[in-house]
Amino acid sequence: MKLESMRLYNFRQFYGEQRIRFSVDKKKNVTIVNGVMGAGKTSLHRAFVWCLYGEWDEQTRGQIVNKRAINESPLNVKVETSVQMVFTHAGERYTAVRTLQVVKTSESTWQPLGESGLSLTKITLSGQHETIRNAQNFLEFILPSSVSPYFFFDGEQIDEFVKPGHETKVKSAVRNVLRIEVLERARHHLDAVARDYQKDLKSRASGRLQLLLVTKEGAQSELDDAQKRLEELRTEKGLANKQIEELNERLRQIESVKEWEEKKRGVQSQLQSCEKTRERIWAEVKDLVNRSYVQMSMPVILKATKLLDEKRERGEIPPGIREQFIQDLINRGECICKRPIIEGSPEHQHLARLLQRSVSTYLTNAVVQCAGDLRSLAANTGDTLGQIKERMVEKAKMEDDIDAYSQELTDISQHLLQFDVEEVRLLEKKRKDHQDRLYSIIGDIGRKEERIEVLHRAIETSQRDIEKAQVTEKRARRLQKSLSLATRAHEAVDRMCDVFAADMRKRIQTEAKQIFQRLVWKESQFQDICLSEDYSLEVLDRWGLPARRELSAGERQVLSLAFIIAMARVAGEEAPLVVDTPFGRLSSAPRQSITKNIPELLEQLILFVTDEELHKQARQNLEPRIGAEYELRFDQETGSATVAQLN
Amino acid sequence: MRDRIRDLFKECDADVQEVLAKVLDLEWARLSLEKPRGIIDEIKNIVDAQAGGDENET
Repeated sequence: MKLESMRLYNFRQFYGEQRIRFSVDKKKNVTIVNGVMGAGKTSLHRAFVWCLYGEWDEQTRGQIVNKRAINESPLNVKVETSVQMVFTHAGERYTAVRTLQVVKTSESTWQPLGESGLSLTKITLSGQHETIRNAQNFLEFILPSSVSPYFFFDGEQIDEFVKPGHETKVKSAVRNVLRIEVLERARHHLDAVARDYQKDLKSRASGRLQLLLVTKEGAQSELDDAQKRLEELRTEKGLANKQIEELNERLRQIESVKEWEEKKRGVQSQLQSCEKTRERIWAEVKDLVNRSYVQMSMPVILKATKLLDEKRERGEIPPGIREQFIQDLINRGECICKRPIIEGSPEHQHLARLLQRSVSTYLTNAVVQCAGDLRSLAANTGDTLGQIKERMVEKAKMEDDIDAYSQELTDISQHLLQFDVEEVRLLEKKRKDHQDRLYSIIGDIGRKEERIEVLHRAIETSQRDIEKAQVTEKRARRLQKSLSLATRAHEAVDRMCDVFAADMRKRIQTEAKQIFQRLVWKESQFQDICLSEDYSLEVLDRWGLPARRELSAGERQVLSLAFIIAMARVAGEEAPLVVDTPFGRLSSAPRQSITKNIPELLEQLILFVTDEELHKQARQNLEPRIGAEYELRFDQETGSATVAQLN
Repeated sequence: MRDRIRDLFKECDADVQEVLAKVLDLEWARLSLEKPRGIIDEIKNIVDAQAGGDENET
């Protein structure tokens, strides 16, 4: 980020519009903003942070909107304050504007209209512009708010880095500026992701698909066998029938048995007819039972109809006066006879009571409809239960007939088994044996068909379960891959996290040493610095001994400055150093050393100085690097500050 | 700095490098948030896409 310009509008003591153009010349990379105490240097310095991050503590820093602008505003009219910053980043130019509006509610009070708003626009070289949608996130991406305090700071307060017991602050600064936290967060999050995968994988226990496949295979094999056996049984059945028919034929050819055979054929025919009739009656019974629910509910239907009829006879259904009619009278405030209905009057109270007792039109219609439907249902039901009873009697008679015909066939067979002709006895015995076998085969066929149906259903269920399990297994295989990848990525970050942090710490130490040695003045007792593994920033005296506790406030400021510049250089962060009161605590020697060396070490330097800070030699040191210079002038009469360009 | 961090992983397998490049970009973009919501799911999507991509290739 390189700052190009800043525009203030009614910001703090800066009334109306004030502009500053920062120097972007590489050889003249210093911008000086002069101002006596109270002229607005600190406000201007804080304007950077407010514009970019919206950070402003009104309790400690006072109100943002210019008081004169509010004072001059009519009541209930919006007063706007804004800070606009134009900067370049990675070859692109951006304009960031933060705006806050207040409204004057009385001569001495005003209220903010919501929070401040930020807009960010990218401007291309050809003049095209594009609004950045998530402006705050984008700015955080360029220069995180956690890093900004190391680039926009108060020179008199930066010595904290080297005070004893501030290792955490130093560590935090290194972590933030060098984005070590990016790696630490990635390590933490990848570990969490790998654990999630592991947990998910565990819940998808493998082996289920294998078990389902074995089960289906078993069922399929049994089905194949059952179907094969069914075919065999059907063949056996056909054979048995054929043999029985042949024996019947042979028996019919024997003259003395002919009469019995004819009788048997007749009984068999009757028996078949009875069985068909019994099946038909049973189907009718089932149908009647299905339709008999109305008959079963008849006592309840009759009771409900009676209740509704009684209500109708008493005039309750439908109600004499409709709810809507009463409501209309109340609303109109006048009866149909033109009598007024005033709220609180006896007429009004009477109508209100009627309204409470009345039934809604919808309910009335539903009840009337229901009563009609119930009567119609009761009339059309017929005597279903009587019909069922009749059919059951018919079925019982048919079963008696079947028993009788069966017994008759048994008797005929028994008679033939004891017939006085041996051939007849033998043929009947054979026929009976085949008949028994046929019954057995038919039983087997029934059981087999039933089993085949069960197996078909089991196979279908298995197939569905297998398909589900295959999806699960596929997901498990992918989970395994994801787990492996997340674990390897986590291990890689884990390995590199500490290595990177240590490497960066060493680089900062080396860089800070070089800068410190350039900044240190010859009278100083302190010659070297080191950044220990626990992030303790130590300074060594000319004898190489730790001497941090002996540093003056000014010396601590120089050391902190060396550390901050080292961090920025190691991070390769393209950001300006914006320092308020940079030399306030420094004596002449360090001041000269800093002004001589720092501009060369930075891309852009913006200094907010008092008239006392830049003494002759220090100014001479900076002079060749100053690309822009301004003065803040405070007008006691108007209570406002203005920005004046000096060169 | 982003490139320098990315360079740390140039010796890793290509799929790990791909995942880390995307994850680090994501972490970088959310650095200002103390507890970035939904980042675990976003990282899972990155890992799944890479793992799935490998499966499709094979």
